[in-house]
Amino acid sequence: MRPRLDLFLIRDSLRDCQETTYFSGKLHKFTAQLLDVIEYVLQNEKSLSEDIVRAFASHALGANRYLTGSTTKESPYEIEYCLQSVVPKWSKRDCYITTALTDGRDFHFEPTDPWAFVKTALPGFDTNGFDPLLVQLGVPRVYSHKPLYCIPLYHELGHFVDVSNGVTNLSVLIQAPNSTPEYRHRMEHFADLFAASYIGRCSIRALEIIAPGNQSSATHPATADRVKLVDDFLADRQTGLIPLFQTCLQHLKLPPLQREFDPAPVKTAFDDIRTYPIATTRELHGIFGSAWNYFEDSLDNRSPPWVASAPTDADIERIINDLTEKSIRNASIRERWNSGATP
Amino acid sequence: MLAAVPTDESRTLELFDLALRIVSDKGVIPDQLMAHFDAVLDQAKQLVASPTKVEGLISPQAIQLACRMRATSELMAAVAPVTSLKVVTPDQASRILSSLEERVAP
Repeated sequence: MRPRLDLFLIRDSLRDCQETTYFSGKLHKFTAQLLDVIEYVLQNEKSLSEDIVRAFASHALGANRYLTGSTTKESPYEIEYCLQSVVPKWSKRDCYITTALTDGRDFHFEPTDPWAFVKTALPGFDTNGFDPLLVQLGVPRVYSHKPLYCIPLYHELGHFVDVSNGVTNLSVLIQAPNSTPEYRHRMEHFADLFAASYIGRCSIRALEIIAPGNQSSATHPATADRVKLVDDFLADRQTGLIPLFQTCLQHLKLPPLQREFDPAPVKTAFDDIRTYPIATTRELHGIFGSAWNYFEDSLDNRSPPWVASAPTDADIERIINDLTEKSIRNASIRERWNSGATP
Repeated sequence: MLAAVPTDESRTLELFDLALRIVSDKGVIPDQLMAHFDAVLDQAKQLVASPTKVEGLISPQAIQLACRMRATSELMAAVAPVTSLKVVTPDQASRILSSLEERVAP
């Protein structure tokens, strides 16, 4: 449990990560750099403040957890690809998305910024300008290859954008909330609006299914209030917190929340059990709403090719999630091919 | 859980908090950490005075600190005379730390 001993364990785990086949080049470099800092800290521990070593060990441990999750073939590559395309608009720094698979049903976001810590608290280590942010997301293992069930990750990415820029906190300074729950509710509303701006109403439709009729709690607003605000936003109605958030984004020199998607007309392709050829980044995000609508319609109406009792509901879910996943994967392969990118 | 773990709120102010802990423990502070502390505190004071009038890029750390200062009069009083970490005594650092204790805005 001593920070120094933890660093030995983390070092071994990160070395294992580097040997996995499924590791991306970017994360490989991130891990190599992190290993170098660990060596630096272990070699210079006596000259460093104990508080610095302990805090660094905490960063390394957190990064290790999510890097480990991103090394397995279970990692939700397709949705990570979609989220990765969102990030440059909201952060001036490189951001790497990593995922930890959870055994529960929760999606979560955990903030960390190990390189800001290294540059500021360990200035003796030269990062050579390497300072990407790590966006650490938690994904239920059972949903990891079901992109339509991973829709809440857009909401979690909204929390990252909020926390890493201070949007909700600035709103507190401009217009103080009346209570701590109200502050927390603002954070959820911002994440809801952020998700809706990229994938439309399916972001909140998922909530209506998971938590229908949920009342307001200490941490989350009532489902009905969340649905209403998202519906207002998508209908271009400037109600509730929407103008306040837009003001904060403007002060932070960030873009406004606005529609960032176009519907992807998947019906013809999916009816033929073919993938849909995604043409633009806006369609890349739009496919979630389009595929979700197609999925619900197929379950409820059983129009061809989903007629009668075969295929089962489970078959429909599996096939439509599969078609969505493969459509996104094809888009990513085409993009990499066209850009001549290396893995 | 054996001990509290960092939350979104405490992680944002981690470096600011770390600088104070090192002063409080009479340790050696890297120059970069000292500069970070001074910049965050200076911008937080501006934000408390006028959150929409701050020029340039606003750091999330300064915003978070400003929220805490608005919420806690002890913290506001403890940082009021501080213009730089260089002049903060170990006792002062301890006082600021205790008033900075985990407290969720507002």
